Amino acid sequence: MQLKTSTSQLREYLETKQGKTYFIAIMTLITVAVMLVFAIVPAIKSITDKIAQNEVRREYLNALTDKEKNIKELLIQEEQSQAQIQFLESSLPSKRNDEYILANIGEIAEQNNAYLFNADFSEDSVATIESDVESKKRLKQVPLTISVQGTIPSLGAFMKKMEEFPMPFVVESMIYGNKDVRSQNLPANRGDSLLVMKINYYYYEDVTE
Amino acid sequence: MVQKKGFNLLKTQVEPQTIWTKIYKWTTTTARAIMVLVELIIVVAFGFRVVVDLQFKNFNKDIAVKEEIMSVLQESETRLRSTQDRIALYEQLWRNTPYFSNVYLEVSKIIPLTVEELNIQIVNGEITIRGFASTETIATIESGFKNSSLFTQTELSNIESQGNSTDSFVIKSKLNNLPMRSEVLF
Repeated sequence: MQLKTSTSQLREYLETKQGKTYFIAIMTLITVAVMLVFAIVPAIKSITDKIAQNEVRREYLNALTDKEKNIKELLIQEEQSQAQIQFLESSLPSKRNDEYILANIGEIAEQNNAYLFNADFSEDSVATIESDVESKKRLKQVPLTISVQGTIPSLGAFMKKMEEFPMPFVVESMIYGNKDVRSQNLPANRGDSLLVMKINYYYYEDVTE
Repeated sequence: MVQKKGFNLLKTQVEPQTIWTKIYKWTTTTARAIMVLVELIIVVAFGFRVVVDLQFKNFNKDIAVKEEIMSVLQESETRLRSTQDRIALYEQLWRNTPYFSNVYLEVSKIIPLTVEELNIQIVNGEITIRGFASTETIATIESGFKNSSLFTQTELSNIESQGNSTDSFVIKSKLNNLPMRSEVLF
C-alpha cells in the first residue's frame, strides 16, 4: 500500500516540469558515469600502463647503452694501459708466488750489502685491510718472517728499498740489533747486525683467469 | 498560376510533453552527443595505444640487441671489474700501511754504535731498546728519544749496573705520527 502510494507520487512528480528536468539530468549523469567507467577510464588506463612499461624499458635500455659505452671506453683504456696493467700484475700478482718474493727480497738484500739467510712463509688468509672494494675478500695476505744480516746502515738501506718496492710489503713487527749475530754464531764478515721482520705480502686471487 | 496565400493568427496548440517524449528527445540529442564524444575519445585512445604498442615492440627489439652485445662483453666486463678492484686495493695498501724506514733511520741516529748487545723491538706501535752502554750514553739515548717527534711516552724502564763501566738498560717508547707509505713516497 505504501509502495503504491510512493509510485503514484513519483509518477505525479515526474509529470511536473521540474520532475522531468531532474529526471533527464540524472539520466545524463548516469550515462556519463557509465561511459567513464566502462569505456574512457579503461582505455586511458591501458595507455598509461603501457606508457609506464615503456618508461621502465626505456630506462633499462638507457642503462644498457651507458654500460656498453663505458665498457667500450674501458676496453680502449685497457688497450692503451697494457704496460701499467702488466706492472700491476707483477706488483699485486694473481697467484701466490713465494719463489718470486724470495728472489726479490734476496736481490734487494744483495744490492744493499745485506744477506738474506732465512725466510719462512706461513699460510695465507684474507687480508685485514679496511676497504669498501666489493671483491676485497679475494685479496690474500701471506705472512712471512725474514732474517737479514748486515750492518745497521746496510739493513736500513735494505728496509728502505723493501718498503719502496712496488710490491707492497707491509711490516708487522721487527727486531734488530747486534746481539743475535754472536749468539747465533753467524759469520761476522756479513755484518754485525741481524734484522728479523714479520711482514705480509699480498696477492689478488683472480677468478677470471 | 497564382498561388493562394494564407495566414493563421492562432497559437499553435502543443501537446504537453510526457516523460517518454522527453526521454526520446534526450536520446536523440544529449545521449547521442555523449556517445559521439565517447567514441571520439576511444578512437583517439586507440591511436595512442597503437603508437605506444609500437614503441613497446621497438624497445623490446632494442633491448634484445643490447643484451646480446652485453653477453658478448660480459667476459671483458668481469676482467675490467677485477682490474679496477685490484687497482683500488693496491692503492689502499699503499695508502693505509705505515712506513717504518724513517723510524729505523731515526733510531739509528739516536743510538750510537758503541751500544753493546743491542736489541730493538718494534711491535704494535711500541719500541723497546735493550743493550749495554755507559750511563752517559743511556742518558743521551733517552733524551734523543724524548726529543724526537717520532716517539712519545719514552721511559727508561730498567737500568742495571754490571759492575764495570757499562750498565744494562731497557728503554720503552711509543711510535708517534708514524707516516703512511703513500705520504712519504708520493
